[in-house]
Amino acid sequence: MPILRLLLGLPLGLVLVGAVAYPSLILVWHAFTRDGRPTLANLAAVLHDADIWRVLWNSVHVSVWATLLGGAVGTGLAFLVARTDLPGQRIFRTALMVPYLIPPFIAALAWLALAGPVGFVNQLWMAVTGAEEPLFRIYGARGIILVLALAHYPLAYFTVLASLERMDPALEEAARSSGASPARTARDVTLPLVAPAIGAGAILVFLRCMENFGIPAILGFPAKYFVLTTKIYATILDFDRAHNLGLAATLSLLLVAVAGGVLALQRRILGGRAYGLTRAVGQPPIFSLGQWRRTVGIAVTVFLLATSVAPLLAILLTALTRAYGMPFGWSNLGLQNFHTLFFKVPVVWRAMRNSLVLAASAATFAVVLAILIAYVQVRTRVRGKGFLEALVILPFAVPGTVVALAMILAFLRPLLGLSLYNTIWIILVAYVARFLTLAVKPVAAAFTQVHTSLEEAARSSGASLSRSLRDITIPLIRSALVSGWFLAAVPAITELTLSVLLWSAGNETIGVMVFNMHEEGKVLLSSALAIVVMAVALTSNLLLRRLTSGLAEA
Amino acid sequence: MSTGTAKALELRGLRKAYRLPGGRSVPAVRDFSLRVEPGEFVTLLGPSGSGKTTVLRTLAGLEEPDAGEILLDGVPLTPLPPHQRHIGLVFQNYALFPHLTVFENVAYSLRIRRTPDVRIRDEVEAALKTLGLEELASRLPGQLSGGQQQRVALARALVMHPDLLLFDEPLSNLDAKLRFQVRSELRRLQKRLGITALYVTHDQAEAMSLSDRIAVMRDGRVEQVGTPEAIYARPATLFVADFIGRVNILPGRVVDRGGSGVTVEALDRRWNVAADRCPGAAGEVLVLLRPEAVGLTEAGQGDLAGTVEELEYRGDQTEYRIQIGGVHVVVVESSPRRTRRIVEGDRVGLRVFEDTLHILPAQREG
Ligand SMILES: Nc1ncnc2c1ncn2[C@@H]1O[C@H](COP(=O)(O)OP(=O)(O)OP(=O)(O)O)[C@@H](O)[C@H]1O
Ligand SMILES: [Mg+2]
Repeated sequence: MPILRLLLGLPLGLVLVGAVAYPSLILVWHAFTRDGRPTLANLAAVLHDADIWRVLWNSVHVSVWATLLGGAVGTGLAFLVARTDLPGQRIFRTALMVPYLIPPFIAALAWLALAGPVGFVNQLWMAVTGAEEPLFRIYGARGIILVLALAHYPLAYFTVLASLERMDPALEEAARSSGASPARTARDVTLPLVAPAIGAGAILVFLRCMENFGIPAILGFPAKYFVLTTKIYATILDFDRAHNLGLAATLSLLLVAVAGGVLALQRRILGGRAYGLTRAVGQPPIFSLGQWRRTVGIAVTVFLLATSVAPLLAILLTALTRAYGMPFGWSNLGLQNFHTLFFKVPVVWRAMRNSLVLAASAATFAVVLAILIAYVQVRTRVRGKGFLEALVILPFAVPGTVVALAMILAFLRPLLGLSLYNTIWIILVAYVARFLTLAVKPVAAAFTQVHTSLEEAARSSGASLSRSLRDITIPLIRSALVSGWFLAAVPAITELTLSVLLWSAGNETIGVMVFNMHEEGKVLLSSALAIVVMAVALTSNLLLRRLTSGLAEA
Repeated sequence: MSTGTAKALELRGLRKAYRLPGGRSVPAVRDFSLRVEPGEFVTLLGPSGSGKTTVLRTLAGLEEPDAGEILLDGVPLTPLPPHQRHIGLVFQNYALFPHLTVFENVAYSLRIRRTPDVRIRDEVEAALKTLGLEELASRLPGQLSGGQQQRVALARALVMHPDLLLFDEPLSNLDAKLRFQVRSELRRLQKRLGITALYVTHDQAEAMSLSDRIAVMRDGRVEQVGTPEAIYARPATLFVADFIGRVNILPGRVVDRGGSGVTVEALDRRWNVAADRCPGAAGEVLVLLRPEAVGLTEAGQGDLAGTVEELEYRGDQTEYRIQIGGVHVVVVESSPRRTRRIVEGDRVGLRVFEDTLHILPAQREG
């Protein structure tokens, strides 16, 4: 059926070429040309710039430290939750989700409210001790490391926890009856078996730290401390500089190379070491914390209060403050900022509408494409399926800043008579490309399942075919489409990294609004809007969780 | 491998209930008592959920009993954590450490005890040799077949010269032929090393062929303990009779009582049953007749007459369902002995081997 093929292939090819392949090639092209002629001038300029080397070093420095810190915290918490008699397990399991659900740039703003130059901690410190200098400097490398680590440790925690819960408890029991004490068992059996997961979790944290834009932007700009992502951002906006986009493209390739190198390293180190751990039956032995049980429980509680609750409370109080800089007190609290936000700043409504419309349309496009992609992947035997898969994953695998730059370069000038730059469409294209892979996963899984059950049904009677369509195929695909839609939409609503480079007047997103208000020094309004963003992020995530767990049960 | 001095195991009034998250508790073992003599091989046999695994795990220290005593040569084990009990454990899924070679898996308990390297090498090599695993010493468990993994698990348990060896359905993941082979090896090895062993299975053939004695479990209690012959020939309860092998249960009545036994009436005939086969029987009773304790003859001969209602040909055996005056009796015969084939509807005579009859009191068990 050539017509059907064309009907399916054309939109798919158009999107993947137009939104992924073409921008990628254009990015590489710009890195290695000037005025349309091939040259290594950009590369030379970047490599000879001591400033760039420092930025590269900064990126690696903050990411490595944040990974060590976040990896250690996440791994430690996973052990405590999965293998000890830590009190309050259930509450901790839920509480540890929270930092995972808050967009990193919002976390950075929250930490500013808590520990910034005029944050609560430093105000209190200076008021109590009479000191002139703040206790803690959040701007610069240390603050970035801290917030990066605290925003990303859940990734390590979830990875290690999953591995611990999949491990066959009999292995640890075998060690115990061979004469190993609990500590010895942990060292000889548990730790080696989760080591690949610890490694994988750490790599995940590292990559997310490397590609993060919001945290180093908010905590780095005031100290003139740049990492690769923020440097690329600054270079793109540095219109006066000759060849700024070419230089930014070269920096982007540098960033991708570092991330890719780390990923390749992980493959080599961990490749042969993933043990086929069977699903756990029964409960693993629980290591008693003994006399330390209470102390450890209190320590974890304090940690969560200090790192999750305190910053959120601080930004909430800031959002509720009437006049900034006035001493803290009940009389200085009110809903004034929210009132201003919603009734005096019309841009806010526009930004919210933009974000919701963008997220919804990007998710819808993504799901439609996901159906085509899943169809090709599961049902056809065309060549180049691997290439297709690579194109789908690429925009999510590379840092968002790089995706944004590729979009700028691809659509700066009208393409085929279509002018996307400075319109909302460029953001939409970027979102579809970036979040497509999230929608493809559940849909492809459903297609695979349906594929086999349909074949089985077809082999028996015709009546059972319609029955299986009604009972299995349609519900399966429908629920996969719904979860695919939400998986793509939820991160898009509070997105910052792409839209901060692609927005134009009238086409702001809610993330951009928060960021711009913060940059303009409107602390109270940006805090209030951050609370709104956080509320949106939490609700949409809860909705997603309820939905996907409900579907998993069905 | 040297032989340790075997120890006696004694379990007294063991109880264990699992507490579920909702606050409910599931009794798994209730008032379980058992004595295992030094060097003896005892099997816990019982249906699924009867608490066999729970007893083993309590012995190994992996579960804490709610009540009861565990004594090894008179020394209480309950206060000791698992790693100080010196009990070897062989799991159903082997539980080999996937990151260690066969050699290191077996050597693990010796390394923990800081045994010198030279001795570790000798002991591990001896253990591997005993189980025919020398060639595989440097492989990882993932590169072994199920039978080989099973042997490594056994070597790992044996190398520490445990006071007690526990097995939880160690053969259930093997195919039938391999199971048979490993079964006899296991028995020989245990006898040779003289280690006290407690073995869990729900496969009665396995229990019969391996054990010095069998403890039949039901709902967390011991129903009967005895040699395989005693359990099969003289079941103490209907449950045991029914669980081990197949049995025809016929209603009967004691009509006479003599010094050497009793006379019962069943199937409209009188039978003499020896005294050790009719514990405390009087009045209404149940007469247990094993299917293989009956032979078929020409109609008109033998002790009883009946009609063949159904038959199932199985190659080495044939099973008949025979109606005798309103009562159905299952008979199993070795097949190829007869020239004329019996078919459904035939009238036949039945010869009953009277001294295999066993009698239980008639009251139904609750
Ligand atoms: N971890 C547990 N939590 C709650 N109940 C349990 C647990 N383990 C076992 N039980 C219950 O205790 C009872 C005895 O279980 P056990 O595993 O000892 O039986 P078993 O005789 O080994 O059965 P099988 O032959 O199926 O292995 C069962 O009713 C079972 O459901
Ligand atoms: Mg069991």
